[in-house]
Formats: sequence, C-alpha cells, structure tokens
Amino acid sequence: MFACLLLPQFRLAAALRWRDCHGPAAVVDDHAKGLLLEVNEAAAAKNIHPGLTPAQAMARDLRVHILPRSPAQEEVLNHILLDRALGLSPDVEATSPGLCVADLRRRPKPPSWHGLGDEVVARFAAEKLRASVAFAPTPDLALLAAKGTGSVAVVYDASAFAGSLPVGALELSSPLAGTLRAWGITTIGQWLALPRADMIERLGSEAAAVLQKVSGRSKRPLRLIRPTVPYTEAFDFEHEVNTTEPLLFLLRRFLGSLTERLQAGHRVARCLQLGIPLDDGSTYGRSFTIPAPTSDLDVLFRILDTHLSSLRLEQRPVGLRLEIEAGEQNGNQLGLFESALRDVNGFGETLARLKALLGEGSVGVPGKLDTFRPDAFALAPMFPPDAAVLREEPAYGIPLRRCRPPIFVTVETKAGIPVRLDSNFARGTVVETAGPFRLSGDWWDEQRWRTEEWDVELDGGAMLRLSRSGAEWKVEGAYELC
Amino acid sequence: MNYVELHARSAFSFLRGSSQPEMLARRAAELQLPGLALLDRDGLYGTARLHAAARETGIKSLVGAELTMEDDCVLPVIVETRAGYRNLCQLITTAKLRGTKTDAPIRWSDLPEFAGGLIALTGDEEGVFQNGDAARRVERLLTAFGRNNVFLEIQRHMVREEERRNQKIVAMAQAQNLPLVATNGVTYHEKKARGVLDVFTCARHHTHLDQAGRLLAANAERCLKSGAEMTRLFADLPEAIANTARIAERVEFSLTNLGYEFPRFTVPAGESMDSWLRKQTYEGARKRYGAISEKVKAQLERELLLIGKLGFSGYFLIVWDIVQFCREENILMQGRGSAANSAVCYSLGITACDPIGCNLLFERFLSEGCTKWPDIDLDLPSGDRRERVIQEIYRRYGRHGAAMTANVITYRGKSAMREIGKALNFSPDIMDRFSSLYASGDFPHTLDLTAQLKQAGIPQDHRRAAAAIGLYQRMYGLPRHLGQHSGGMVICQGELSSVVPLENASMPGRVVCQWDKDDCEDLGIIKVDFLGLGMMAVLQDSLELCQRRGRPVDLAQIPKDDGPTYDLLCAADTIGTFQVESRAQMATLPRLKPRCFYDVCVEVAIIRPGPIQGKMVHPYLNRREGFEEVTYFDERLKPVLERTLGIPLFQEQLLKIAMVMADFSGAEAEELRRALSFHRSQERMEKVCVKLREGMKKNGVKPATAEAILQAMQSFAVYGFPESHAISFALIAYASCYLKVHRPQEFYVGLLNNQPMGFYSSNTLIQDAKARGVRVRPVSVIESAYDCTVGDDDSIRLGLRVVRGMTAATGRRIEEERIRRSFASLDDFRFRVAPAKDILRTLASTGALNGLVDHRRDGLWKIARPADETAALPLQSRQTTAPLAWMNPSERLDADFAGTGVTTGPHPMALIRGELDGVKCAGDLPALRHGTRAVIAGLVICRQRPGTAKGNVFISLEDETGVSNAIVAPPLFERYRLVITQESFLKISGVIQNARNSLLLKAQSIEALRYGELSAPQSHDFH
Repeated sequence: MFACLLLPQFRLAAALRWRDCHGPAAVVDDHAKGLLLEVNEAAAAKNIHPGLTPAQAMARDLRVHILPRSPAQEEVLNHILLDRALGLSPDVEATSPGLCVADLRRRPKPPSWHGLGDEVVARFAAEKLRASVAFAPTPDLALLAAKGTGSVAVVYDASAFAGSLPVGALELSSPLAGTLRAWGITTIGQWLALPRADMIERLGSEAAAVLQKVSGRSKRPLRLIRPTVPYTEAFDFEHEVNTTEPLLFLLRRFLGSLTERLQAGHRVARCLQLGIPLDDGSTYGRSFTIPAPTSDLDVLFRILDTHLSSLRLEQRPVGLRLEIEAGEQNGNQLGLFESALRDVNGFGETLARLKALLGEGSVGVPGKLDTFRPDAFALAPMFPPDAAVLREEPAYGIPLRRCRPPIFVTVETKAGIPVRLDSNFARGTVVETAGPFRLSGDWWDEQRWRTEEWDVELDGGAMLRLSRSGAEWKVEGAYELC
Repeated sequence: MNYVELHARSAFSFLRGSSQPEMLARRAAELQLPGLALLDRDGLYGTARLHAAARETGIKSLVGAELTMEDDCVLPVIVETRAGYRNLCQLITTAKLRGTKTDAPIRWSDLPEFAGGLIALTGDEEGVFQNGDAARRVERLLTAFGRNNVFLEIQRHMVREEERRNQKIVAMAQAQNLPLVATNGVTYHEKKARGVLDVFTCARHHTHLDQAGRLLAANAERCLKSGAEMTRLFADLPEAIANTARIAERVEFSLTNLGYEFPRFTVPAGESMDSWLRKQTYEGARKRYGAISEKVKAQLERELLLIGKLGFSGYFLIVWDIVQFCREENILMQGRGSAANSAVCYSLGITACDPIGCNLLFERFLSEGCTKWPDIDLDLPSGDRRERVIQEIYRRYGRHGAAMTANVITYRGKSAMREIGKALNFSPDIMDRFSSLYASGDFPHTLDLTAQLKQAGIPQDHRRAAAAIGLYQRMYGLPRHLGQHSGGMVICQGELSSVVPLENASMPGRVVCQWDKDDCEDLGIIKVDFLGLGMMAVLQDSLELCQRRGRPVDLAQIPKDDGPTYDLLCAADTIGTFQVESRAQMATLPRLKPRCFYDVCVEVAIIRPGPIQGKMVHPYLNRREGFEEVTYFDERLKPVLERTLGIPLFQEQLLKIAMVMADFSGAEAEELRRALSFHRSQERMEKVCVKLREGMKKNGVKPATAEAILQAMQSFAVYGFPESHAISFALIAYASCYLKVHRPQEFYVGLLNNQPMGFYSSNTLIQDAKARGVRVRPVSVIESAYDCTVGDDDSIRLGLRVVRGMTAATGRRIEEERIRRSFASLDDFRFRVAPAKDILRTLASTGALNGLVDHRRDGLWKIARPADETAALPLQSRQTTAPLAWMNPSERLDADFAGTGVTTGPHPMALIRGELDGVKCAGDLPALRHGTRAVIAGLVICRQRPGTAKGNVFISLEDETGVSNAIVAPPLFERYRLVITQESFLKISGVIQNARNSLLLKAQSIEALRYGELSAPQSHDFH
C-alpha cells in the first residue's frame, strides 16, 4: 500500500498559520494579477471562489481576509508534512507543496489502515493543521483518494473508487481539462464510460496515461527524497546564566561535535548562526560569515569567543543554539600576481575585534560614493568583498590633501568673496580666488545638503580649498604645491 | 550690456528640460532679458508656444534646436534667416523620417546641404567638446556653416570640472580666432524646477534618485539668469556676453513670417480660384435649393465676397475637392462644426444642413477681419474608409507635404505620480494604491493630494512626502510625449517640411508634424479634421445594405417629420442610435418629447457639460413642459432666445447676445467666444469681458442682468455647442433613429458589424433588436458570412466575425468556400477551410457547426478527432453520433458568451425567472405608480457616474423583457461600491420614480444576484 498525506488548501493553511482568523479568508497569488488562489469554507459559503479578484471577493463579503502567500510558512508546513511521512516510511516522495506519498510496502501491515490514518490526522491536528490521509494500492490512487476525502480514506477496489470522483481531482493539462469540460464530462466514471478507442483517438496519450493511473493499472516509481542533515546543536539551561563561561564551554563542545560531522562529510562551515534565548522570551541572534570556509574547530571557536568576549546583554541567557551552514570544500586558485592574506580567518578575527571596539559601521573598505557631495564615502564589508562601492575618478590638477574632518575657520568676505581667513590651521590675506563652486543634492530627503566651495591662495603662498555651508566656513584641504 | 540667453531647453525636449516654454518666456521677461532662444532637442516642439508667450511678454523669441549627431554629440543651432528656418525644418525632417521614432541622428554629411541661414554653437558637456574629438568637429562646423556662423559656446554652472573644458574652449578660440559666446544651457526657468529635471533624468536612465548619483545635476544653476548675473560670471570674458546680443541682432527670422502658404487649387485655364469657387458654389446651390431665391443669392454673395477678400477661396476648393473624392469613392462624409453655418459649404456639399433655412449665424464661421483660417471638420466613417481619405491626402501632397497634427500627451495625476514615485523609490504597491484612488471615467476627482498620498501609504510626515507633493505640482501638465491627433491634418503649398519638422508616427504610414492643433492655428497653418465616427460607418453600411435589398433610403431625402421616428425618441427607445442613447439622454427624451427636427438638435445640445453646469437643463425642460414661465435676460434678446425658450443653449446665441446687447460686430463677437473658451490667456479673457460690460452699460443693460449674461456666456463658451454642430449631429442622430424604426434589420446589422462603438455591447444590441421583433439567428458556417447579414426572411444572421478568435482571413475563407460549393459534411468543411483548432472548437461549442453535426457536443466530439485528409470525400466519412449528452440551456448560454460574447437564445434572466420571487421585469415597470416599492434584477449592461450628476450612479439592468434603470445616491453607492462595480447581475430594491415621464427606480438596497455563476457578457462602464 501507499499512503498519501495532504494538507488541503495548503497555501491558505500556510498563510493562516499563527493567525487568529475565523471568518472567510482567501489567499492571493502575487504573480497572477492578485487573483484568489484558495479560499476557506466560510468564504466558499459566501460564494467566494478561487479565480476571483480581491475586489470581487470583497463585493461578496466585505469581511473576507485577503492574505498574501507566506513562503516561509509554506516551507515550514512542508517540513512538518515530510517529517510525518518519514515517520510512516523511509521511502517518501515530496510530490508537490503540501502533498507527499509514502511507500508502505516495507513496513508491517497495521491492524487497521483507518486506525493508522486517524493517528496521523490527530498528530497534524495537535499542530492545529488539517490533513487528509489516504491509503491505496498505487501512489496515484492514494493521491486521488486523499484529495477526495476530508480525513482518512482507504481504497481497496480501484475501479469502484475512481468512478465517482470528479474530473477536477485529476491534475490534467489545461487543454484536456477544457475539452472534458466542453464535453460535459464531470466525473471519472462518465469519462471511463466513453468508447475507449474513440476517446483516446481524440484526447491522445495524456488521457490514456491518466485513465491508466486511475484504474490502478500503473504503478509509477516514487521520486524519493533524502532527508537533509542539519548541523545544529542546542541546549536549554536549567537556570539563567550570568557569565559567558558556560556559553563558551558549551559552544566548544557544540563545535567539537559539529566539526567532526563536517569532516566526516568532507564539508566546511561557511557561516555560523548563533542564537541565545534570553529570560524575557526574546532571542539574541548573530550570524558570522567565515572568510575562508573551514571545519577547523579552533578557528571557528575563536570567532565565537571574540564576539562573546565583548557581548553585553541586558537579559540573561536561558539557552544556546548553534547552527552551521555547511558547504563543499572549495580550493581557490590565486592569480599569478595576486598575493593572498597569510591567515584570512586571522584577519577576519582582527576585524571582528575592531568591530567590537568601534561599532558595526566603522570597519570596512572605504569607497567614494557616487555623489557630488565632497568627500562622501561609505565603508564596504571586507567579507564578502564589495567592489561596487569603489569608484574611480580621473585625477587632474594639483593634488589636494584633505583635512578629515574639515577644520572650522573664520573667513572675512567682501561682496561674498573671501578676503581673509583665520584659524589654527592657516591664516592670512586672500590674494587670489577661484569659485564659487556650488554643489547640492539629496534635495528629496531629510539629508539634503548644499555647499559652496572656493579655492583661495593666501599671501603666504598656501593654497586652500574652503567650503561654506550657511554661515560656517571650513578648510576642506590644502593643495600640495611642488 | 545686453545679454540674450541663446541656449534654453524646455520640457518639450522630453525629459531633458523641466519648464514650459511659457514659463521660460515669463521668467526671461521678469529678468529683463531682451531675448531667448529655445533650442529643444531634435525638434521645434515648443517654439510655437514660446513665440506666442514672447509676444505677450515682449521679449524676442529666437528659434533653434539641439541636434543629436551620429556620433552622439549634440549640436545647438540658431535660425538666423527664413532660409535657415526652412533648412532646419528640412534637416530635422530628413533625419526623423530616415530614422526610427527613438533613434534618428543627423549625419555630419547632412550639414553642408542644410547649414545656410543657421548659426552653430558648440554646446555643453554633451556638445562638440565631449570626448576629446573637438578639433575635428569644429573643423567640420567651419566647413559646413562658414567661419562667421560658428561660435564657441562657453557655460558656467559653478562646477569645478566645467572650468577645465572652458579653458580648452578659450584656448581654441584664441588659437583659431573664433568668437566665444556665453550661454547658461538653461533647462528650467527657475532653480526650484531642478528637482523635476532630476526626476526626468532618473526616468531617462531607468533609475531612482537614491541610485542615480552623478547622473543628476550637481547644483541648480541651469536656470535663467539675468544679464547682470551672467556678466558677473563672465567678467573675464566680456566678449562672450557681447556676442549674445550680436547674434540676437543678426537673427531676422521669427515665426511671424513662417512662410506658410495653403496649397493653391489648380483651376481650369481662364478661371481664378475665386471665379471657380463661385461657379462651383452656384452649381451646387442649384442642386441643393432648386431655384435660387433672392435670400439665398444674397447670402451666397455675402459669403463669397468675404471668402475672396480673405483669400480663402483655395481652401474651400481644396476641401470641396476632398469631398468630391469621398463621393467618387463612395465614402459617406459630412462636414461638422461651424462650417455648417456657411451656405457656401452647404452648396459645395461639404455640410448637410441648410444654414439659411435654419437661420444660422455665418459670423460664427467666418467674419470680417478674421485672421484665422476657418475651421472645417469632416466626419467620415471610422476605420478603413477614413484611412483611405487620409492616405489620399498623403498621396496628393507627398510625405513632406502633409502631416497629422501632433497631440501633446502631458503628465496628469496618475502618470506624474508614477514617475515621481519611481524616482523617489516608493514601492510599486504605493503607486498602485495611489492610482486606484483616482476616480475613473468622468467622475470628478475630489480627493486632496495630501490625503490621497496618505491613503496610498505616504503620510504627511513621511520623509519624502513634501518632495512628492512639490514635484507633483511642478510636473503636472508638463509634456510627456508626442502622439498624433485623432484626425487633424495640415497641408502646405510646396513642402510642409520646410514649415514645421515632420516625423514618423508610431502608426505605420502616418507622418506627424511637431506642433499640435493649437500651435498650428496660432501660426496660421490650416488644419482639416478628418474625424472618424462609428455611426457614419453604420449609416453607410446600413444604407448600402438597404440598396442591395431593394429598399433604398436616400439619406438626404429622409423626411424630417416622420412620426414613428419621433415616437421612438419620445419613448427613449434609442439603444444603438447616435448621441441620444446615453443614460442621461434617455432620461431626458421622455421629458423633452421631440416632435420636430429642431427638438432633436436641442436634445443633442442640452445634455452637455455646458448646459448642465450652467444649470440650464431643468429650466429649459420646465419651460417646455409648461411648469415655468418663458422669460428673457432682456426683452431685446427675445428674437435671439425665443427658439430655446429664453435659455441660451448654443454658441451662436452667445455671439448674437453680444451683438445685440453690446453692439459687438460679428468678428468681435467671435473674438469674445474664442477668448472665453481659450484657456491659455487670462489677460485676453479679461480684456473682452471689460469691453462687453462697457458695451452693455452703454446700451442701458442693468448691471445685474449684465453679470447674469456674462456668467451664462462664460460657462457656455467652454462647453457649449455651436448650433450648427448640433444640427450636424442631430442629422446623424435622426437618421440613425429613422433607420432603427424603418430599416431595423439593416441598421442592427450595420451596428453589429462596426462594434465596438457606442454605449452598449453587441449582446445588448441583439436583445434590443429582439425586443423590436427582429429575429436574430445564430452564427452558422453553412449560413453566415463573415459580416452579419440580413436574410431573405428579414431575420438577422450573425456573422462569423462575432466568433472570438476568428480572423478575417478564416472568416472570409469560410464564406468564399461555401459560396463556391455548400459544405457537404464536417470533414468537407475541415478539409476546405482548414480552420485553426481553437476556432473550430469555438465554432462547435457555439453551435456554428450545427447542420454539419447533430448538436453542439456532437460537433465538439467530432472535431476532436484528428483531421483525416482522405475523409474529404463525403462517402468515406465515418462520422457517427457522439456519445455525449446535449448541452442544456444554461450550458449553451455559457458557451455562447464564452465563444461570441452574445447569445441569440433565451436571456440569462429568463432561465432563473421562476426562482425570482417578487422581482419585477423591466416590462412591468411602466405600469407601476410613482412611489411604489419594487425590486428589479438583471444583467448590468451599463454603469454610469457622470461628472455632472453630483455623484449619483445610473445602473441599467437588462432582463428578458427589456432594460430597467436605477439611480443610486452617493452614500448608497459608497456602501455598495464593490457590489455595484464588481457584480455582473444585480438585484435592486427601491422606490419607483415615475414622475414627468421619467421612469427610474431610486435604489434603497443592492445585492448581487447569484444562481451558480450566471454567464454574462461584458458591460460598458463609465465610473
């Protein structure tokens, strides 16, 4: 026998999960002009059905909840579904989202198929999920039976079972479904009653294959799944902890076990996900990209150790989670004239220490921003390197040595033109000016800015770049004279 | 020192400038600049507007353009002489017609031929000095334009990098002894408009402001600047400033002497255009009037004298010639608009109503002192026949001699905010919500911009809300792109391309000029409108069908006193007719009760925004029904307003009022109308109003009366109908009603073959035909032609064209094959026609194969079998009846609507009538008394929310007995908005309003009517 486990209205069930929604509800497709994909019974009772637009649905009942799809929840539900199926048999096919088939031929026959089905349905119900379970001699019949039942179905006689099913239960291509609809064929029984040869001549091989399936005469092989191995460890403390020692101790043990598993599978850690459940119910989370993916316990531990040594939490930890995102070992060939960092992970660790000291946004590769704003720059992360931030600029004229930050200066002007300046950095009478050069930008935002620049030559020979924003003058830099 | 700005771009550079030409002109005048050259990118799109604005503000407007060269360098040129203007127009036209709509560069090799009379500048960062190939480009310019006509352009926008280019330019000027000229490369009139230009830059580069970086402007210095400011900027190069004035002084060309000439009409030897026009007019008059009375002769002489004096004879002859072409080609045509006020036009066959008999005012069309060309619009059958006329014009005058006028598409609410939203990086969801908050159709948009943004998800305190609002206000109304006018064509003596640049329209075979119809009118370029009217096509098809069926109708001879036709109008049984089929028209007809042709004219004119907003509809109807006394603003106006019961309804009356009450001449009265209806100049409007007030005061008109008259005029001038236009439309409206009464089969066939048009769907037209006792037969491959036809038994046979997916080629093939030999069997049909699988399936499901098969599903079963070529011989056919059940009525209805959008079978409401308890049929309503509570139900065929109806919504429900109408008040509409707009079938409870011949149900509650999923065709909605 084969078992089919189905979460009816899968996309709606996913969208509704953890939501307190009792009235009519529907889920819409983001990609097909927002048409309704699935509706619940309350909505169906109001004549709201898939294919309507949200506006049409609301015309039928204003209280209808229109929900977008929830890919994350769909993934979670699929995991739950497969988990349950794997509990029945190791041979499971993830047929489609919300639907899987298990081959039960290798397991002992249960005392009652119905009893087994009820058990599975009850397990889903415990997670507030509605499921249909069907047992049949072939995977396709099991699938059909699951679609046709509200809870548990067992098929012994294929032909008796299929006859009463609606054609809509079959997954037919759109032309075939359209032809049957136009012919007025609504049940599989009506379809099977047509003269077989004439019907196959008209509907072609797809129809023949479908009818073969529903009659139980073909038994397709399942596309079995291999459960993925998660590299995860977790621990819940009996009491809240107040220091980092127990955390570090546990982390080293976690990493010991996980790196052993990684090495056994010839894999390396690309990223570490650290989670610390706290006593207020929240969880502190942090992700660490490994500059040079590795399965070296010490390297990985140092990254976590560095971080934890500077971590200050308001709440006390009540648990610890560590997950490793694993990848294949990847040997990179360097370019002929390219020199590699001697210890990439060591450098990464140094950066992590700097970040801990200076703050997250203060460490990285500086790059000039694509803006007219003088000296505007951003810091790009080292790992992974981001070349997009950097921009090349042609260099011409006399080199300017910039003052970072610019130096405030008192400037005397005549008709708006600087004539004298005074500051600790430079002072003197202006003998020559060029400017003003006006620059402004980000006018659409709160960070709008406007500045006016002047190049001045002082009587002492110094050449400076001044900027004025409102009444404030600053020395932006000094030209390097040969 | 005088500084003239020689390099400005307007928003007509499409995404490269952000100010209207008028804004530039006004700002230039404020800054006391003596002149301004508008150099839009690759065209003269904005020059006509700048010219008009410059005239008003007193600055000199210079013409020029920025030309995109083949190497992507942008070359600015300024027109010096008329020859130069001609050259520039032709140069742009050559490139535009050679290239594509988006890529039409000018070749360097084109320049020598067209450089005469032009002055070349060297441009900005996109100009001659870009990419370091400057020396070679300058050399080419010197060769093409000559040393005296090339100026090295220098701009200072206070950007550091720009100075480096300027140093190169100054060095070259010194080295080659070339003159420098300063410009500011203006792209907006004032600094605040820089933001819109940045948004446009984002649109051009498909990016948003956060990402655009240095694609945006470095500052806001590309605005118009005063002479003093520019002199200060170029203090080190005074000659560059002085040269601007020198160039401006050299320019002798302005658009005032455009050099446009309307084509001369070739007349026989010994004739002048005036004499030939006289001859043709009198010849036509004799046909029209029979014997020419003194009154007619006097009018014709008066008109001919004026036409000759104004030099318009050639124009009349050319239009007459086009009319002759239409006659020869059997294309129904009728002149409309103010031309119908002319007896000459009537005699020449251009218009169809007799202005003398109708006592129409000639001055509305043409008057002494008139400087504008008279306006003659021709209505033609829409579709191929109209296109034939347009192509004939191109054939006669050549691709460079005739063009469609442009239609400037501007940024309106949705499009402006969408562009702004993209630039400000708002999410598409927000923009969708913003757009969806606009009222559709003609419903007035009442939501304030701030509130609309808030509802869309941008509250007032959003960090970009202020920017969005500011940008929206500046961007609204700016040109977005250039389309082509629906029917306006301009033609020229010689080459039109030497008067205005021409370019390819998106539509193949069409050439469009760079000015819109108002620009052309302003500059004295004559336009003839070839307007397509669906009803003209219907009339022509119907009349041809009548002719073929041996019961011809002569459109010119239709009796204007036909009782049954007026009965139809009084009963508002006007679905499918012209102009009088809308909900509002149908509601008015039973009150107005037209019994003569002039009543039809009034009916056509009265349901318009002008009379409605001027609150003239109800007073007129009340007076007509005797509920209100007929009074006049002033007794002196009795002869003017008597025909319309003291209520001004027509523009001619406006003119006459001015003539009677303020002693205006005909020309002055027409000027008054133009000023009132011309939105562009407030000053012009105020000037004529002062004159009118003074005239009325002089004639002793009381101030209150004078103000009332002025107010009526103002609301009228904008929306009011000319009486002549109303008569022209009424002729078509009356003809359509006459045909509906006397030749219903031919009329409905004409309508069905010209869908989509009008207010109602094909299915509603079929239900209407059936209600009038016309039998409508379904589509059949053994009976139907491609078009709908009338059978020998006076029934209508639906044509194959109504089948969804049916191509004209397949439809015609079926028709031809059947004429050649009847189809012997389904296999024979498939073999000879070889229709596509989908079409075959639709034919079977809609019963079009019945006759070759037993029933619809039998057809579906049989066509599903792969085609067998050997089965073409009927004897070899191995078809047997299908093992499928017949379709039931509901399934047939589904298949009909899915396959053709219409049904000749029972109405969907008839199928569920038995289940509708207490619901009245449309046919039952007239018997109900005013105030009775009733429930109606039916298929929604029309939802209307006219802007003039104060938010009331009109819903028409169709059932098996006819159409019932409901009115929904705004609060109820808001409550049931989604039900009303989304559901195909409705059930409405309310109270019957049956007073004064208007039958309506005032809705009190509305619900969707659902029995399974009832099949429905598409409704026509205007909400």
